[in-house]
Amino acid sequence: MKRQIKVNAVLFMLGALSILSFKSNASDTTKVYKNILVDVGRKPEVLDSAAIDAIRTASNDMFAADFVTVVYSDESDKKCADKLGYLLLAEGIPPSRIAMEQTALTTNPAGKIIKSGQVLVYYKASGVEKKNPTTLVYNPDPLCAKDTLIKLENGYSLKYRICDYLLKSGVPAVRSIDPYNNNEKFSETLEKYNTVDASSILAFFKIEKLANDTIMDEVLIPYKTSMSTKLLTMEYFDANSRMWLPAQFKYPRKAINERQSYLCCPVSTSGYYRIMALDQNKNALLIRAPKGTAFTSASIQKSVYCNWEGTPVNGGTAMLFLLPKLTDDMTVQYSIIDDNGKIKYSGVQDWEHMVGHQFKIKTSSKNYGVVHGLKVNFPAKGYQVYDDFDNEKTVTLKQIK
Amino acid sequence: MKKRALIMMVCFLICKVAISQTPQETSDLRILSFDEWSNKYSTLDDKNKIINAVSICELTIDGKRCLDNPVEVKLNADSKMEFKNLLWYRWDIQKKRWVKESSPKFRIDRNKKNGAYYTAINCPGVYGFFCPDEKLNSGLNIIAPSGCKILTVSVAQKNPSTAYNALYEKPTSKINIPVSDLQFAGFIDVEIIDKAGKHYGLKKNLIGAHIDLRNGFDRCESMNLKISRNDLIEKQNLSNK
Amino acid sequence: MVVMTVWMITTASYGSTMVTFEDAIKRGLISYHVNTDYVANRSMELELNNNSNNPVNVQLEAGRIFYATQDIQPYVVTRPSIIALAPHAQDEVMIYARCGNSSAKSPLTDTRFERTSMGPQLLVQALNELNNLRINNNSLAQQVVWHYTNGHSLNSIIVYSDNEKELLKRICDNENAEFPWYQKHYAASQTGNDLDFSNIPTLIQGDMQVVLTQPTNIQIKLYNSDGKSVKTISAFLNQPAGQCTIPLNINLSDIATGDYKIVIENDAGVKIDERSIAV
Repeated sequence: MKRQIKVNAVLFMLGALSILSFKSNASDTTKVYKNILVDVGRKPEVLDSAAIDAIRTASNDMFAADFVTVVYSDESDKKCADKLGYLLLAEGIPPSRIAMEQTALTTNPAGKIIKSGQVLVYYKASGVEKKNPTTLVYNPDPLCAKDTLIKLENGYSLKYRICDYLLKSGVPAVRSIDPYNNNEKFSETLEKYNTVDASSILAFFKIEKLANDTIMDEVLIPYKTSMSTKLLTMEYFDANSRMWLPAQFKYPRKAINERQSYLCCPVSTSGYYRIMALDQNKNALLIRAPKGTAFTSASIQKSVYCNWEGTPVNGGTAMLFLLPKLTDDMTVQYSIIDDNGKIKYSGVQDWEHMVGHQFKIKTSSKNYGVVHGLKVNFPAKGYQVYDDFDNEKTVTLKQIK
Repeated sequence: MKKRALIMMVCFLICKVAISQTPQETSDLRILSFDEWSNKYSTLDDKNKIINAVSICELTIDGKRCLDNPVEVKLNADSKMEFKNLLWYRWDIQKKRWVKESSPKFRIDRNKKNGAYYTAINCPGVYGFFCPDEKLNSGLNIIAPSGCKILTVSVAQKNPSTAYNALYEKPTSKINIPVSDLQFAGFIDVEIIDKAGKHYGLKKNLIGAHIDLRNGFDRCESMNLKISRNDLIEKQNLSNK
Repeated sequence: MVVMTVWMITTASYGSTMVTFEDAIKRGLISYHVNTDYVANRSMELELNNNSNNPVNVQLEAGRIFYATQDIQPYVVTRPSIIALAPHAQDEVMIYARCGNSSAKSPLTDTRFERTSMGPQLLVQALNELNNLRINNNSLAQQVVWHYTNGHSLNSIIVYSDNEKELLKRICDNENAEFPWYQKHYAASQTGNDLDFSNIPTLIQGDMQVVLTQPTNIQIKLYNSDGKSVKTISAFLNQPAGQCTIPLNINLSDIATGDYKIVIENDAGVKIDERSIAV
């Protein structure tokens, strides 16, 4: 097989399209150049087999590059440079992406010094793309790398990539809801959302996406340092179960180009979202079961939507709650097991009535409770459940295990 | 020449059929409920220390000894590290103890909010995620009424999930079991034999019926369960035990 | 200061002609010969002769198929190229081409190629998209070709980067098909030649999205077409409530060919979601 490419007549012209000036920047490690240095032979229009092999081996890489640049320093080497250009065309590099440079004996972006009698082919390797088979987000356009940030009047921002929605019927919209005063409906019923304790809700918003698919957008909420001591959780309203369920959530991070920090709330589906703060220091509530009994479960409710499960401590003989605020309209529901294995269910009643006895918790106690995975100091006072159970009904467990 | 080609073609077809009809073994991973595992497997490691079970599962395989492609198991744990330093154990049938397997890998997810433990199971058996018991108190002393000896002890409780099942070849009047954190609703049964050879069990099987847990226990404090004759009920039929 | 120029092919200034391969053959401007020679991860060598008295720039089209005389895979050109030929000159160039028949053997050095034609319109369109997106993944190019020449499913087109996903999306759009929810990987051929198709599926990868109303343990199980549980693929313990993405990585080496259902169950055996897959 013939390896040498014969000399062609001059088929191409060098169209001076642009004059660009750029300096090499050795410290810029993000720019990675690959290069092939070709020695010009006695017949400059003939490439040796080593040069051909080198170009053929690299051509697949070159195909992905923005430009493949052929550089020569001496006019006498131009024929060799042209020949390399023809080879690049035959290797499938589009003509619009082959650049030809004549440069002085200074350094070029590839960091190579080209002497007379040498031609350099270099290209900027665009870098290996991160292979992530689980992501199904399309990036057809370089513009897609840029996020679209829409600021709302209350300081919230909605961040999404516009190209994610190019073929969709509409872009997402976010609307904040005032937790103190709202008439939001959460289903076809006329039930209104009771905010329980608006001060515990740091953010409350509704996102509407016509394209209700898996595209993940972010709602950014200005972050205040006062939030740092709080336990933060994000919940979304699940219309099927009519419950607030935990949602994905990111901790604060600083937004690019701004000094502002945000709570980042990734959302992919339309609906209501809220960010709750639980103060672990102020509103710990300990409820103790009567002697000879222990809780199997206990929860405090405020409205049908807000519910706090207690965390059992001391073998279940007491329940620890973390609440945003203690108010009069809270109710308690619990079940208690006695030492015969009988379970007694309480009805739902005002919590002060049901757990009326107050007691002081011994300061000598070294115990602590664990709520949401964090250690919590016991409160100074607790409440004792009455021995008589209002609305009680009992179930005897035949087998405890 | 034609004959050769025909033979080769037949061979090719046979190979192709063989590839597409590989006999298939079946495998099933079952997550065991607390009730299923607690009376079979004490949560003790091979150093006789109590460990807290987080999740226990059993792999059964029909057709092969071990799987070429393991069943991957992921246990989610949030960034607040609700489950700290989890370890992965296999139940050793001979030792009747949990034996540590290679440590599960813990990875934080991209949001840095949640993390998860990852492991994989190739061979049949019972496996589980456990966390070490950090309470380190000196366990539960069980003292039989005077003139009685303890034959068996069984303790099972959730949150954290621990189980202890022991049969004493040499019955003794006092035993210490390495259970540290006790739950009121935990199950306890002690089989006791008196001098006359009569067998007794506890009347009440709730731990809370025997031990006052209301003030909790500090480190290094031991818990005592002194059984009186009034706590016992005679067992009529021991053949079921 | 550097002078930077971009090459432009002009026909007017030097009198050279830019013609497609199709036109050049029809007009008798060139003759060709296809050889097989393994060079730089390629095997198709195209020898071209300029039969005319003028210089000719031959544009070889993506999607052109060169058929062998025997029952050997044809070559499908996946990346277009321009071959500049002086009057009566000859040139040999290596072409980016992939196998056009997954059930046949790859060409040998003595394989002869007798005719050429353009492939089906959708294949040409897909390869043009691939090149417009500057995708240089030759395995992907091969999977795209087999999708059209041998009816391999869209699931067998393995995409990783955003660019590659965009290609698959455009292919799906062109065919009015849904974007595949899982990808089916095949083993490399035992011949060591990446033009050969092993027909041995190795791995299924994909994501399933579910919404859990309460924290639970879930298991991913494989059921055969008779509804019998064949295998537990993976278990996700203590899965929190809410939306969750379940990644699937199903090694197929011990799974017989057939249609299956991937079922997400909770630990009580209650089905949460299911999807169909073909192994």
